[in-house]
Amino acid sequence: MTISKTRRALPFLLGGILIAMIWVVLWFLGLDDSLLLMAIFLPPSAALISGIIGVAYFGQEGFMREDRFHMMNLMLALALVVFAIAEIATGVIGSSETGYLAIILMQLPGLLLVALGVASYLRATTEVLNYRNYKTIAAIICIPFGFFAVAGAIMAIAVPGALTVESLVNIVVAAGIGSIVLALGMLLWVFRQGEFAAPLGFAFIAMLLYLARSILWCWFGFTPLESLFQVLVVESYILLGASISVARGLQDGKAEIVT
Amino acid sequence: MEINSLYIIKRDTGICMYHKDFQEEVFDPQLLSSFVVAMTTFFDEVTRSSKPQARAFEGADYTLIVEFGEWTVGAVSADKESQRLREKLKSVIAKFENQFSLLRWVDLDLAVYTRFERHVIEEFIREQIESDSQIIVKPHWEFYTKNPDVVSFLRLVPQICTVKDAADFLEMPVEIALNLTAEALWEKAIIVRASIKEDDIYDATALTGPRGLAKEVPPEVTRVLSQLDGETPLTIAAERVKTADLKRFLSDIAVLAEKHEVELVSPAQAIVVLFSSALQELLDRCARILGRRVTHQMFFDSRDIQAQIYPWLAFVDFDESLDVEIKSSLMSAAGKRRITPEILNDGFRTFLHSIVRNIRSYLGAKPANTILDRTREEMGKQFPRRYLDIEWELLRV
Repeated sequence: MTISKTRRALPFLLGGILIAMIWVVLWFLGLDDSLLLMAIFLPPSAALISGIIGVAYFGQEGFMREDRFHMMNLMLALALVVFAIAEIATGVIGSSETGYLAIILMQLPGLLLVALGVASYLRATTEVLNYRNYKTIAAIICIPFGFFAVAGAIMAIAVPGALTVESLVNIVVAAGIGSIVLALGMLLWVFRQGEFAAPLGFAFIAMLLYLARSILWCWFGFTPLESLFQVLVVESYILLGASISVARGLQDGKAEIVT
Repeated sequence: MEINSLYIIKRDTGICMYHKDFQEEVFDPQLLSSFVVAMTTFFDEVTRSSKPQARAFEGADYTLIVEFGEWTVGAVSADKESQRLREKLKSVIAKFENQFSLLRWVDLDLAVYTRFERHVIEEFIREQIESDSQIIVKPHWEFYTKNPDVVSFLRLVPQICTVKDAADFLEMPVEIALNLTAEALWEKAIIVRASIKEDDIYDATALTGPRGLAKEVPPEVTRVLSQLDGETPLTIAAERVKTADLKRFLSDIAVLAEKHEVELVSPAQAIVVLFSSALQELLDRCARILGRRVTHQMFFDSRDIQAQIYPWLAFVDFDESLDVEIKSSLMSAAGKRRITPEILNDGFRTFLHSIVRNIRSYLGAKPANTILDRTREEMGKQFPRRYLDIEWELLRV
């Protein structure tokens, strides 16, 4: 891949590394107040900036239903804007335990947009490349849901009373994110030798981090405003922004002629 | 038929010992044989060569191909020179010299015409007839032939049918029907056309057709005239007019072709249509995965580079709605045979390969080859016979 195509992702990647380093330094120094401030302000800012840049890139041409790659990236950008709103809500109600369910529910529209974008692109790809459409989609849906259902059942048996409405919803959301991760993983595997692997790879890692957050919340007792929890989210949003930027770079760049 | 006339001339005397006009008579055989011997002798003298030098003489719309035997000269008047025709001429000369070796030394009446006919039919007539070739019986064919086998054959077959249909109709082996057809063609009692295939491309020369045509072809075929635009294969045209019986449709097209209402496009034009369809299929698939912008960019980048080698590729365009457009200049040049099918084939193949290489750089080799394979499958449906004219294996990355 040429540098010009990846150049757009560099600010995102540098930002992500910088934030991770600052978080490590603050954590070692034990500056909890600063970590809390980071946890409140950084996630919505990262999501909003990434989302706005993405919408600016892909929103100009509007929804192009026949161009699934364009549509997926626009959906990811819109999802980031929705995530930004959800993160602001997390900052406001995150300290109260009763608001956790509301936080999960507020993230659902964003996740739905991501799922729609990825699913439509996966469908176009499987149709064009003649993969077994229904079996692939069934596997992508069933495997995460089956896995998280078993995990939830084990949790319910091992820790009586742990299976609340909030954790049930959280398990379903984690399964949904798992499906998105699997779908992106499949696309990444199919296009692993080409330039399209870069945006798909960034999106895959981003959603993997998002899934890690859900798992931490569900099974490891992390709460939404914990600093490790939030730094994962920030990195996830930054990587989604990087994915969208590289995708735009691919669309704008000259095709490479291999002679 | 690519060959018009055949002449076998005695080298020493310049006398034409055998000649056959496959179509109308073009040259007086004795005049032509004198010319050929005089010219070949002249060239041999000028070049002081012990081996005969002259190979062909070219006219405005014919080429006279010359081959030398031990004591005869063979000449064939044809549309264009080809190695295959040259080989056939050599073979005929060898057979003639072998069968009538006595004529080298003495002039005798050896019934050359009747005895040598079989070899000429075998070399030049029989090979152009296939089981799916179309027989068109000439009106008043009885005046052309007295051969009893041919007469009884032509009395029974329909006026337009394929050789296989005739064989089925007369309940005879196809091989015998092929031989009888060859003899009938030799006698000029019939016209033989290559069968009309479902992926042939025809161009309408009249949009309404003359009066009386409606009696011979059904209205939907007259309607299809507007679809025969020199770019649409007959399968697609048949689909557009919702024809139930494709075989019948093809024989109706044969009637239209016979009436000169439609004509087969030139081989070069057919190549342009074939490759532009393949290009469209490939790019449609790319656009669904890579997106419109990347596909657009990829097309023009590849085209601009390949146009440095094949400038005519600049006339292949790709519009905003992702439709491959062949500019009329290129189509017209192909139609008027100003550009050869070989050059078009090479250029388009290189162009397609360049696009597939670009797809590989975006998606990787396996998806690129899968897209190519699916394009090939789709082309197989649209052009069942001709899709293999594209060297698909060379396009793989």
